[in-house]
Amino acid sequence: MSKLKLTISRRLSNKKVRKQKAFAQKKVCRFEASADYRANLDYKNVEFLRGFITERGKILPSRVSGNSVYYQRKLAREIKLARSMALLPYCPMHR
Amino acid sequence: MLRYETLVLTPPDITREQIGLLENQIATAAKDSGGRLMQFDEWGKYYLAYPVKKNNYGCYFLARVEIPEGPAPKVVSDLTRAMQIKCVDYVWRHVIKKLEAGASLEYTRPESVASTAKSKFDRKPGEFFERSASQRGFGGDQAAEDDQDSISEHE
Repeated sequence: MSKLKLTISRRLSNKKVRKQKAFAQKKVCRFEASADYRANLDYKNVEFLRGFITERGKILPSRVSGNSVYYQRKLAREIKLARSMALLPYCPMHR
Repeated sequence: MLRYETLVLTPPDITREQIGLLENQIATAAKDSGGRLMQFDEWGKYYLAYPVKKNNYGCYFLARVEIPEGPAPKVVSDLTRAMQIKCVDYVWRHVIKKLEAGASLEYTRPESVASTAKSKFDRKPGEFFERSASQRGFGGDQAAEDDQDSISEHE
């Protein structure tokens, strides 16, 4: 009976190494750390929110920004509210 | 005491009378629920993040309302009716938010056109994003990777 040899592709092994590297640093949620930071979480506080969006206007994932689930959801909600009020853009070039 | 705030986006050529009418409508909505209009801030003219009704500029107003606690506050529906029906001609967008009980009333507002005194001809397309994610201290690789939207990302 022939045995099935399962080899892991290089692409997959690279992906695993990359994921390990990404999770190597223990990130702290900056919102949980200080109350002042939490007070900034407002849809009107555009300058603060802009620190959490990419150049294209996309919301940064929590694995990049280090936010906890609770604050990431709150942040996303505030950013979306700011977008609806034309304080933040939805996409890079609207014109 | 329950506190609500409304941010209103209006055309940049809104007249003083219309501003007065808007303020009155909000004050009436508050009074009908037994409360009062706490503050009515005029933010001024802003360069919008995207064109609204084919306009690149707009005026913002922030109104805060305080009402006593009681059964089923109807102030939110009154405010939406004021904005969507009575002031429909000069209100483009609005958002009503409930403020937390013990939260401070301070807020930071974005810089208006008046304060920066920058004409739209000075702005280059894409200038809206002044700092990239990498400059803000987040892993530049990760953010740049996400921005590329390549097929290999969806593995």
